[in-house]
Amino acid sequence: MTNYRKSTVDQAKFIAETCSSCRRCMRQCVFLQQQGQTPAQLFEDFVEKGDIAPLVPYSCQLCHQCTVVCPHHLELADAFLAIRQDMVQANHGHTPLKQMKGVELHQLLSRFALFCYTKKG
Amino acid sequence: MRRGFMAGCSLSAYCPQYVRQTVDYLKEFYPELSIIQECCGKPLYYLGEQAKFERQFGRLEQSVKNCEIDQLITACEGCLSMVQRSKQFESISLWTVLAQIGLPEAAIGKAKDSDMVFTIHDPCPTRDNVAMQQAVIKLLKDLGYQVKIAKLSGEKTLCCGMGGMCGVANPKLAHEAMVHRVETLPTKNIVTYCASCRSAMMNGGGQAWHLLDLIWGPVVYQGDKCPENTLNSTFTAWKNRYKTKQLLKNS
Repeated sequence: MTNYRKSTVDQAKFIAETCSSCRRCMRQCVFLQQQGQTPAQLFEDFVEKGDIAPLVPYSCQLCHQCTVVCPHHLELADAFLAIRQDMVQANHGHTPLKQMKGVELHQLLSRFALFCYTKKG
Repeated sequence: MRRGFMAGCSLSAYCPQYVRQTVDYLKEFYPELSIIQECCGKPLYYLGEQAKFERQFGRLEQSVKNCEIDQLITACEGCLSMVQRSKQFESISLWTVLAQIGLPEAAIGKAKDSDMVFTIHDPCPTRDNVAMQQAVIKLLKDLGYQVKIAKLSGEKTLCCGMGGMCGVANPKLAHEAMVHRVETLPTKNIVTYCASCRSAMMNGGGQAWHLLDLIWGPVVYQGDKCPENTLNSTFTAWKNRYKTKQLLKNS
């Protein structure tokens, strides 16, 4: 089980306590709509259980539209990213989702000289 | 001021020729332009693999330093958001620069007889960059196209569906988000300025052009089909990245 940083849990608590469940953030976000919970409920569950299924934080598109429309400008994306970082930390530097291996490979290939080029003008 | 240009991975994987043409054009104004063909590491940042991200971003920083670049011009909004977040060096979007220096003469007004009405999909990592969003509107109008602004644009823009690595983590949800995004737009003829967003808008059922398609490519009319979705083929994408490097090497 992931040992979440205090700052991550505090961030989640702040959202759980501040979100007024107005659902403005859910109007355009397919991810939040499918979760079926307001951010208050979602983050309260996380704080209570002390964990969350990895697919939840990894399904947020980290686009911050929710923050723009939120009357309290709550930073849900930052909270989900912090949860991802803690999951990686607990999993020896790798994401817990197997399907993300391709991204790591993509990043490895991106460093190959075959695709990189720097030229001082 | 010494400038550098960074096309980014997705654009390089989409259209090597347009990257080369853009570099050639920028060099007319900035003969000392440096080229940075590297990854900013944003995918690692999104994964939450912070230590690996910092190593990758550090490589980019070193390259910028080695080239003595004062200002990095980026064609990718993902790269731009990472560079601006780090605050390590000055950066500006290619679109803001193009609005300032003006389009190539051959491109100005080239679509004035086109009946096409485009809407714009603003990429989400730069939702707060009003100067860039306005520059894009200006560039489309300077080309001669009619533009219908979407309600959910600018600061309120939606993600194309690929954001946050959701496309890999949860492809079904990402696809639903792509379809939803296209449905929120006032026309199915979409212009965007992120190669990854363009691919997503096509996967969501839209006809989508990259701004560089319209600057360097043929004039588009109602009913025209947009260019092929090359990013859907992993092989073509990597082949193009190699080709971009070769084209830039010989520039």
